Amino acid sequence: VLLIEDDAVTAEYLEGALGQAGHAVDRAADGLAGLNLAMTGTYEALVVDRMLPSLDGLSVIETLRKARRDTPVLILSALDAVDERVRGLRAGGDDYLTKPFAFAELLARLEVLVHRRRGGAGPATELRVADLELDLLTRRVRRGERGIELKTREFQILEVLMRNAGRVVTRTMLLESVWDFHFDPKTNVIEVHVSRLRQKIDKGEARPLIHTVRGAGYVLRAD
Amino acid sequence: VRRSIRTRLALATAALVASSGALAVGGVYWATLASLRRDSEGAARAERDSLLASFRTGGIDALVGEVDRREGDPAAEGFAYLVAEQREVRVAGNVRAWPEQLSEGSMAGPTALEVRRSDVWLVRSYRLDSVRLDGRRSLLVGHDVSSETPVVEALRVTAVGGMALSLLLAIGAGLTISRRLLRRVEDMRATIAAIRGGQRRGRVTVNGANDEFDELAEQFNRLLDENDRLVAQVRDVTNDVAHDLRTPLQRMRARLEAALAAPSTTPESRRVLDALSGDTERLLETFNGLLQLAQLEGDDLRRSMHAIDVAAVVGEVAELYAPLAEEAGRELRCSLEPGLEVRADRELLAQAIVNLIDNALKYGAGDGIEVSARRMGDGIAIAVADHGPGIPEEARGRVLERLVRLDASRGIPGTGLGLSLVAAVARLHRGTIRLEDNHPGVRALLWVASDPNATPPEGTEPAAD
Repeated sequence: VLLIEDDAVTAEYLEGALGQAGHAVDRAADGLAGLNLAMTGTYEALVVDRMLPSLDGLSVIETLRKARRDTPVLILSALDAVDERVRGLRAGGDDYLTKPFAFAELLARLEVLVHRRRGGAGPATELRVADLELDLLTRRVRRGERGIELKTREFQILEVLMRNAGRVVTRTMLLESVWDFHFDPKTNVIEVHVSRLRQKIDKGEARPLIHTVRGAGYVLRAD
Repeated sequence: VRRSIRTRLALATAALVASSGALAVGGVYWATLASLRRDSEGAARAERDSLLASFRTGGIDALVGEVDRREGDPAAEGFAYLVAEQREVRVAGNVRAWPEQLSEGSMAGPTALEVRRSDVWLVRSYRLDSVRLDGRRSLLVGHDVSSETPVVEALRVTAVGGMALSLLLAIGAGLTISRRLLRRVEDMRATIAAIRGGQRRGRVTVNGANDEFDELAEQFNRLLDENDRLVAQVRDVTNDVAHDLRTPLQRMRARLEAALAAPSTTPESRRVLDALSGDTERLLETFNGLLQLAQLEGDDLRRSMHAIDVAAVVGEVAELYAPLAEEAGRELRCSLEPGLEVRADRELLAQAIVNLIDNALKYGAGDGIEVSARRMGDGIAIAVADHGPGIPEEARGRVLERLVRLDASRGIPGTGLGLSLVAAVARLHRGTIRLEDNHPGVRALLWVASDPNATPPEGTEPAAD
């Protein structure tokens, strides 16, 4: 992972935390240095601050995209106006995170980006984790021999969790991908939806699949 | 009332032009008549005086001879003569009898006289002058006014025609002038409407006539420039503050997370750090809320407005919150009119509805929350109603202000920014927010306009901040 961030304290912390999460991190403190590294090195993902000395974050991304580098980019920004987000994504960013953010949120989003880059989320019509099956065409869900009736949103939540099986999906990620809302609802609306889904998937099962990660979100895992 | 200015202006101009036209034409008419009369009187008097002169020099015989001669003279055809004794007896002349109403020695206006012309008696209108010759006899001279009639007639036709024409011209001029003037006013009105509709770059045309309207347009444009500059300045300051504060807040969060994750941290420190994390979260919540409000005020978001189905958005938010409401023992009842399209920012509208439902969940009571969306006036009304203790009437305006929380809600977590955001969202959509008594409880009514010139429905005030 390449981290382009001008604030030393934030950069140092992110480097340490990403390292602990198993990612090797290169750091650049300004736009030009970052662009050089991005053009010459090979990275699974870039984390780019929106406002940087010497070369603005969006320009870095635009230059990369023009050079046909399609490394996934997560934009960090101190600006959160709606059109800032849109501008960031239009410049070629893959996801957008407003400062200040929790590390868990950054890590979850980064891992989803990296996974997507590896071609993990292909155009499959059927998802399977352990004995849980989800058919995207017939919209049917089965756990072992048991057929499960899900409401539309529950089905969509499960789909997101299954596509990212083994990776943490945060509440805001669920709100974005299922409801297409990009604000923080502050209340525990998402928890209630997930706990209903969990009732249907895991109740009475010896091995629960949906796990809560404290302070981060949810993960669907076989163990 | 607005439309009547054009009519009033046109009528006033028409009246002004018509009355000045009438004055001019009437003046000419009366002056001509007076001059005709003067000429006629002068002619009668001159004739009288010359006859009087014959009488003075040659006595009655000379006068009679002269009268007889003039009667036959074609040059004196316009005159009538009478020399009478005691008004009764005609001594000479071609007038049959002394007019009854005329005393000897006085004048009279047009009077009908029976006059002999080539041995035929005719009745015609004469202007009269007379003089006493001696104790018994008097002389009467009349000047034929029938020669004036065609002139007067022509004059009358000209006057009436002229007045009618000038009235027509006046009405035309009035309409043209008022249309010209109002076109500039209309231009300004349209520009203001366009700017309020989000086209901030709009300016009033200065057409180079260098008149008062140009002056007004220039002043107005200067005002708009100044306004744009201030808005840009506020936005810049907001962005600077956002950036300058977010970096230290990010560091603070990072340090807290690192400290919490460190194995060396004692359980006691961990408790303190947990509390600090909680405080930081609340601080961030308020900070983000204030910043968002400031940005909404800066109002650059109209770009993100698209035609959306309000009913769909309300439905999605209601569906998002339904399970949470159920957990709290409430039912979220939704009634939506289909096909409520309006230009709006979906994200902001959803956030406003979230805040309203959030409030209903926090402060409401009873078994249900009613959410509805329907057409109302020139826009769409979204209502969220609960059955809680409600908000006292005198506090309803205050709770829309930022950071205001009522004493009754002190124990419940919140930033005091939720309704301020709803009000700001309403304003951005040229809408209104109103809090009503739900007997019991609160009914929050968010109204958004469906077109830029829509007027809010009765009883709602434009959302202030």
